[in-house]
Amino acid sequence: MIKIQNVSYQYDGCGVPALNNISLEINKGEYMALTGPNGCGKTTLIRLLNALIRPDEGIVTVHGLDTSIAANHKEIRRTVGMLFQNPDNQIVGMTVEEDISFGPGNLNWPPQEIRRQVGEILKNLGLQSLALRAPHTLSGGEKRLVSLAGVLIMNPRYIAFDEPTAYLDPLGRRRVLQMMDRLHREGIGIIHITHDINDMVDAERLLVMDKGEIILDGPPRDILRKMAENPDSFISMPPVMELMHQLKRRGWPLTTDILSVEDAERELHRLLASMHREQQS
Amino acid sequence: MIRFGQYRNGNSFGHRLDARVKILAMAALSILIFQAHGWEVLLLSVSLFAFCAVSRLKFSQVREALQPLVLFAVLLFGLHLFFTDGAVVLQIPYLPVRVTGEGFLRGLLISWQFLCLALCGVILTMTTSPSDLVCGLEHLLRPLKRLRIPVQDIAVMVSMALRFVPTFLEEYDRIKTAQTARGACVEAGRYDRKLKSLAALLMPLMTSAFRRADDLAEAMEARGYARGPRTTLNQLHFGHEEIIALIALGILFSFVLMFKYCL
Repeated sequence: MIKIQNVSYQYDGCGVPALNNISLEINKGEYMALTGPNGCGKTTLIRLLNALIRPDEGIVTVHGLDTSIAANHKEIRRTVGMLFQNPDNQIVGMTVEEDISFGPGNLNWPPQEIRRQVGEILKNLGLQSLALRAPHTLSGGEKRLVSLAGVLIMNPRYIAFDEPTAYLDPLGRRRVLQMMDRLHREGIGIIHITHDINDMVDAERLLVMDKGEIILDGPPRDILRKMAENPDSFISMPPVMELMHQLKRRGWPLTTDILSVEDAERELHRLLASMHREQQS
Repeated sequence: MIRFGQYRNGNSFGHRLDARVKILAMAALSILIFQAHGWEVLLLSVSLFAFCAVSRLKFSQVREALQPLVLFAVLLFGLHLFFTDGAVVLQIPYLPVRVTGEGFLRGLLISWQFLCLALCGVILTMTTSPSDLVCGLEHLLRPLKRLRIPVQDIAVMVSMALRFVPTFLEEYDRIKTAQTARGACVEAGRYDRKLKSLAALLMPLMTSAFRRADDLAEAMEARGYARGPRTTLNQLHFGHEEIIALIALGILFSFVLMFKYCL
């Protein structure tokens, strides 16, 4: 479990705190979506989790290890992996396999062991054909997967993804999301920063931040329903949701709890079936 | 893209050879080639070409890599041709320029030596992947650790710099397009305007480089990087092939010295 207790953090030379008295527990194996307007502190929050920054006030512990103690950092960074917004700035190796070996090298694994694990992870993610490629020759989706491989090889218990599908084409997006889903099923805790409502619907938990504070925390459906009713909400509705809302406003007997295409399909099917029955009777 | 002696994947004797041995051999050969004046030059050239052959480098690839340097070689040849004292073979009328026999020979020798030196570099980079090259250099420089020089950190820095060269080239292209779209004269125009627009290219490039460096430092830290000893994926191996190569190098060395001092 990752525990954040009454944490505040302020960047140097910045008037307002980036995080303001935040408390949060992230459970093992949990799939948590994290959203909020730009500059609300999402990235700062996940940077706390892997000791990249230490809280000004309060305590962050990862499996009981305090992030403010330097001696814990290696273990914490192994436990909590980070995927940054721009994979280009995360890939350090001259070739794919070399990049994946960067983390284990830092942990001083013996070279044969690194070689073996790199081979395994490449196979696992279906990246064998890319092993000797230079990073700049990869596509956006491949870059994400390579940087993910570099994190996975250290066998983390949690991975924080900072907008992992930004700038990706639909295929790359799907590959990355499928991979995240698979990791979650394998028991890795996922923290997913996103602006896309489709990504939030299937999460187990949704956290909404604003101005350095957590304003909503709970099951995504409840929160999204609440936010959908608020016209000033920073979340943009998916077209299907917008459509259902408008139909409802016109007097169609629909429930508002429609967050995905599957929901809409089920709801319309129900409606048509009942209309059909009425006609027959 | 950078064409000069880009690494070509392969599994020949020359490719497999330990990077340390190759670096040492090429360094030794480039020193030798400038010490050589007579028949030794021929011997050294032949051995360089022999190494190309065992590395299965195609003549066209090597020629392509050396192409940009041929102009330099011609310039060197010209300089020696016209500015060496000796028996005048040809006096160009009305001009204080004359060609000497010694100049001709000297020019030929020096420009050939220059090309051989370049060839050494090209062979090294074409048969050795950048990662192995950095790894080899790191191992060769290890003794400097005693002088408290952080050799491993330097190796990480060098490999990272190499890794980001293509990224920055891409970025440069992107910025160039963006600035051209806003009316900067990047390609054409008067000299001073071109110079001004160079600033419009370099400033954004620098800014983005620094931002990247920040991100990169953070990403490295997140993956457990700390100063101090670390292991790497690529291990160098010193086996039979390396011993054979070193013996061959030793024989070559002694031949050249023999030619130079004994004959």
